[in-house]
Amino acid sequence: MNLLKLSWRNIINKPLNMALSLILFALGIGLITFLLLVNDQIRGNFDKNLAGIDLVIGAKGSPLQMILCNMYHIDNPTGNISVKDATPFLSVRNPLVKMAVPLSLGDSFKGFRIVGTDHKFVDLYQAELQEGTLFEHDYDVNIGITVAHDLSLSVGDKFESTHGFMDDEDMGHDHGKSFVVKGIFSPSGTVLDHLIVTNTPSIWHVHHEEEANAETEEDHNHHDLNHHDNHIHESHSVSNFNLLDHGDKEITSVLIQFKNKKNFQALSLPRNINQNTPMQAATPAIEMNRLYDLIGVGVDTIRQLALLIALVSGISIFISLYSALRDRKYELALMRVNGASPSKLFSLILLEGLILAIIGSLIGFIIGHVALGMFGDMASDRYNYSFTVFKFLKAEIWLFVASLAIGAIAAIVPAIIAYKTEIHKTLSS
Amino acid sequence: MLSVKGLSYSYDGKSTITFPDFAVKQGDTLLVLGESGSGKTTLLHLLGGIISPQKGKILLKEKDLGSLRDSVLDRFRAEHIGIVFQEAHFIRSINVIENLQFVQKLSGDKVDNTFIKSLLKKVGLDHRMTHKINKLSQGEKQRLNILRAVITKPSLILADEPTSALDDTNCNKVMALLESLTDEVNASLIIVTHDNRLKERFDYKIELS
Repeated sequence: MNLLKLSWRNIINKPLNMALSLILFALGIGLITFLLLVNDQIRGNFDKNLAGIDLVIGAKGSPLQMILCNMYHIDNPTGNISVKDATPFLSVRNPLVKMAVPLSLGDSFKGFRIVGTDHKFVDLYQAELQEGTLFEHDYDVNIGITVAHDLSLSVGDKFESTHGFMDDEDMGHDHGKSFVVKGIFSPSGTVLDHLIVTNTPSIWHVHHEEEANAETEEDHNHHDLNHHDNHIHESHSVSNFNLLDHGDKEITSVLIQFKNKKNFQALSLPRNINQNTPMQAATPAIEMNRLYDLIGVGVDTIRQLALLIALVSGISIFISLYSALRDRKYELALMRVNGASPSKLFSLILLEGLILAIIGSLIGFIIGHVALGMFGDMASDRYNYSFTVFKFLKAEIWLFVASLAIGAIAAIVPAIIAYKTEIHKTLSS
Repeated sequence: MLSVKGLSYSYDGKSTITFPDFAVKQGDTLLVLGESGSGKTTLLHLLGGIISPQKGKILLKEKDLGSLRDSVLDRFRAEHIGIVFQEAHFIRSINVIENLQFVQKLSGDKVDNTFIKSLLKKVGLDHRMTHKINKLSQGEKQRLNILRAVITKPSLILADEPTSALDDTNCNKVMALLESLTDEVNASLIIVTHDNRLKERFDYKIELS
């Protein structure tokens, strides 16, 4: 029977006190752990999805909404822009632009977004194919690994898209053509895992054919469909399609990587676009910092609440040890009579505080990670992000050290009282 | 083995309790009788090294208890003195045998389970070995109280009012056990009490007034 074992026995001898202290401690640490993990992983995911994108150009509206929609695929598009307006930025001759990636959004399949783009989009995320080949022709798609898993899709499978981003059968397209899975991306930890990628004309086809079908059904044949057919029903492959030849068509946005991020002209480009074109430009880093600031208020409040819980749990440990001390004063005096030094009694009580803190924080860490797993399941569907339950942070080590400090501080006064146990007075009383 | 000379003690500098000189040889027994307030417990605590003499000397195994540093006194007490307290208190979070093992460990000895078990059997507590303290009856607690005082094989056993709350039958049983266990470890025994029934059992006795 050593001190550690005796401390443990003393703790479990009062199961209700122990449970109360542990619950409070674990809740505080769990909440802080959860916040640390969520904050780290959201930032990590956001940063990963920046993919070196310096500028997003899209329809006028909320710049944050445009960033969230076109880079993180969370929000709805602000609208569309014409290819003609975007041509200066899509052109390879633009001296500022290293890479310009067009995006056409608006469709989905069972909640997973379909992105009309070109192969540069795949390069942007440095994605590799796990299986199959890159999309080449109209209606060819590549799917992210999460899409493949969640929808049990394999190479060669076919599906029809839905208009909008919700999984709503009433919004299904009636164009008689199906998308064909040509390849599945390897896991990248980016938003690409949650996307269905095809070429731009496929998105145009889907919408045009639906419009055409609707008009046919309503017997409004006064439109010159042949005119459209000349543009739309032409079959494209990625290699022979040039977006700039379709100035009358629309896309949702353009993702831009600059050749030189510090170039003055590049820096002033967003303002020029906002002032002189019908489009808007937004810098992802600026918008994301604005978002962090907005979220930060709420996170700070929860963090303060968590710290308050941790403080209360520290007080709970103090009360638990202090009241137990009054109950055990005769035991402590007997230990002194039997040869225990004052420092041994001090250590005994301190150990009890530390044991409670260690167990409480370990339970708290488990709670934090399990909560992240539960939150991750929800967030994965809603925000197109995967959260890793088994990722541990350096900050958790500091949190553990801090929780030990709380346990030690809570135990220090009772430990000093134990240290000062007066054998004669106690045994004579 | 033990000698007390010119011993007195005062609480807060008020009335002083003066104790008679006496000596006890190894294996001897001594009864210290006295009424309430006569200083019995104070003497027991002085002899047990729980408080230090303000005046006079207590020599135990040729060591002057008053001159030992606190840490040395703690160690000395644990090795050489066993005390049977009036109230039978134990560490409640651990069981019977663990209480005895812990006392052995605190005294600096190796835990001797064979010895502990043999004594538990002798006092009829072997079936209670793994039971928590709160499961024991008052009588069992009293036996364990005595057993704890001898478990470190001390040179001197001090007992504080071991029989005052007992009827004659149980008084005799407790005394027989105390004497027997003291013999077993070849210790000297000093009993401080106001229980006059014990007078006849002891040849060597002093009275505090």
